[in-house]
Amino acid sequence: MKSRKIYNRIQVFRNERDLSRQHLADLVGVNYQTIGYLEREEYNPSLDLAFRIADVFGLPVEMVFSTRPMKPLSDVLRDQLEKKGD
Amino acid sequence: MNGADSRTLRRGHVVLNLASLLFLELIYYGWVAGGVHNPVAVGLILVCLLGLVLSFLHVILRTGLWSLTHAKVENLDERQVMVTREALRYSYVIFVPCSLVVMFTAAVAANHDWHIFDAVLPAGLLYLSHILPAAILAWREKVV
Repeated sequence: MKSRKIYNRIQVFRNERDLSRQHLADLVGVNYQTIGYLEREEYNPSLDLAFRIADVFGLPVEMVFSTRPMKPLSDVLRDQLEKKGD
Repeated sequence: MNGADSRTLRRGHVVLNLASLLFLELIYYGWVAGGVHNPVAVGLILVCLLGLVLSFLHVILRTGLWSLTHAKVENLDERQVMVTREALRYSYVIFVPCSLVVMFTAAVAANHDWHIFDAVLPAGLLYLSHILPAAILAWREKVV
């Protein structure tokens, strides 16, 4: 079975928190290269790893991972502001 | 060095390594084991050995692929387990026909009293079985 591509915002959240790949890798218990593969969306994480990464960022897993291409966070915020303005 | 260049270089070293092994065996059994001891054969064997050792050091040892493919599963993360398992699967597919060809050749040679089955042939196969998973990873992976 060919699996779907999983999109993510790991790099955005990692940069926001000023974490290196190595530091994030240590926190979730993987090799730092695996973080690189995840950020380039060349590897789909297991459910367990996805939850562990989301836990490190303190965010719900659906904010970090998606089966559809993820909008930039600035666009999400703008959309929310526009909704509030309506 | 970017990833693409690095992979191209790795692939070059994989080809060099396997070609060196193949030519080493061919020259050994073509000339040396047949009783021909000329300086050209010995020189070619030395060149093959040099290519084998240098490419092994560069693409298998220095990249850490040897330790990756020989590590215990509990020391690897889920992606590493997946890629090494896949590399082992491909290795098996490649190694079995190679072994069958070698065994068939050795059996035919034994029937003709050529007696070529000495330590070099099994050593080559043993080496091949150990480096194949790492060579496959070096060939396929974008970053190692």
